[in-house]
Amino acid sequence: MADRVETDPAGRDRIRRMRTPSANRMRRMARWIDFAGWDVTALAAAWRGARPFPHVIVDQLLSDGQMDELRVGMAAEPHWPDRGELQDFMASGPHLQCEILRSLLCDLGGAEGLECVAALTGKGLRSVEMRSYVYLAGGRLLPHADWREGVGRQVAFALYLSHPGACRGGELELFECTVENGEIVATASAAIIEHLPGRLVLFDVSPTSLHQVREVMEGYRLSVAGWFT
Amino acid sequence: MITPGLESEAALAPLRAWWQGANVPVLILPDGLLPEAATRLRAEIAPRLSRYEVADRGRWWWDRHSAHAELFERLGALGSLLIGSSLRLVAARWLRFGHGDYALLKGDDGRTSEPGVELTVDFSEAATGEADVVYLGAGPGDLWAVPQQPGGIVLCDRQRAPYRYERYLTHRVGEAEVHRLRLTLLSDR
Repeated sequence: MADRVETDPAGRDRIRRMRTPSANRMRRMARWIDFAGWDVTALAAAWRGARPFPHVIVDQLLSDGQMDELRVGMAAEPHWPDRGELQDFMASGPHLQCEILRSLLCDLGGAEGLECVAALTGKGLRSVEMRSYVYLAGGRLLPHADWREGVGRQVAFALYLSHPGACRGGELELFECTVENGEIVATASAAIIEHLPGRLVLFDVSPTSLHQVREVMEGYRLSVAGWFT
Repeated sequence: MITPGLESEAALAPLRAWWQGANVPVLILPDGLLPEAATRLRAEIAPRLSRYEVADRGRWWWDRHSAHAELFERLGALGSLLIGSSLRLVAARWLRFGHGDYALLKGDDGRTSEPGVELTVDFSEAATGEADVVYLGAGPGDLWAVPQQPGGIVLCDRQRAPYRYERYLTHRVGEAEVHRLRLTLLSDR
């Protein structure tokens, strides 16, 4: 029985891992991501050694054809403006409607995806949630940490789907934090990660894993992002 | 420095009556500061500004120490007349924002549970169309976004709007800068 996407009471898509009573379990084959091709040992070492906090980059995750297909999925997915203290972007709802994006979510949250990400991060992971994002010129997500008390987020991810050359700006920026008495008192830019098409970034979630999406100066930025919990 | 007539009882009495009865914690006095005064203030304060950058609080230029006796006194008197009680100055901040600058909720040092008013004067050269000051209350929907307006004087009851952030300035503002003087005025006891 294949893993499937379900909606929790809060309206968020979750992957439910379905298990057959048979000892010979049928695992859903990942449609988008070749997890078997990941060098988990090397990725785990990169994760542990990354600064300013654990993170890892996996490039060329998707073929050009797959990215085109996912962009079609994004175009079909409804997005709404979201503008507030930190953010200015277009975002999908918590419950993805497009089958293409839901199948990508199944890949990430399926048995193989969870095991792979768990192995390289050293964390016990049970589920994943994901939304789709479009940043237009002026769009950004100002510095913040994704950690929330009681929510269970452990690993954040972003998969970039912009067309090559479609965007100037919009990089993921990671910050080094100085903490005194439990408060961040100083920050410094420590890493700037380009949102290359087909790049997957995984990074640790903690109260001090401060990061931002820098302002898009020109063009547009497409991505799907979320958390493993 | 202040627009003639603005500080008179005749001008302020209806504003005071309206504000005391209104269900909004923010009062805006457009064109309260004369343009020539704004120009002088920008020139005077420029060499005294220092950089502040803590990513999850904000980025701006500021001076927390410089005083302007005449302006502070007149603004304090204006605030007192509008809220109907005597006020004392407890803090003054000269602020400048340019492209890439912002102030987040965590960077709000004007939060107070004491009665009084936060008074902000915009002494920018031009309107940017951005850099709103957003005040938030405790309830859903309690949001008051104050547009950036040169010469504007804004008063806010921080007891009713305890949270404040200042919107990020995008590349669209170019070389323009937003200048603000922010006074924390508390009621005398």
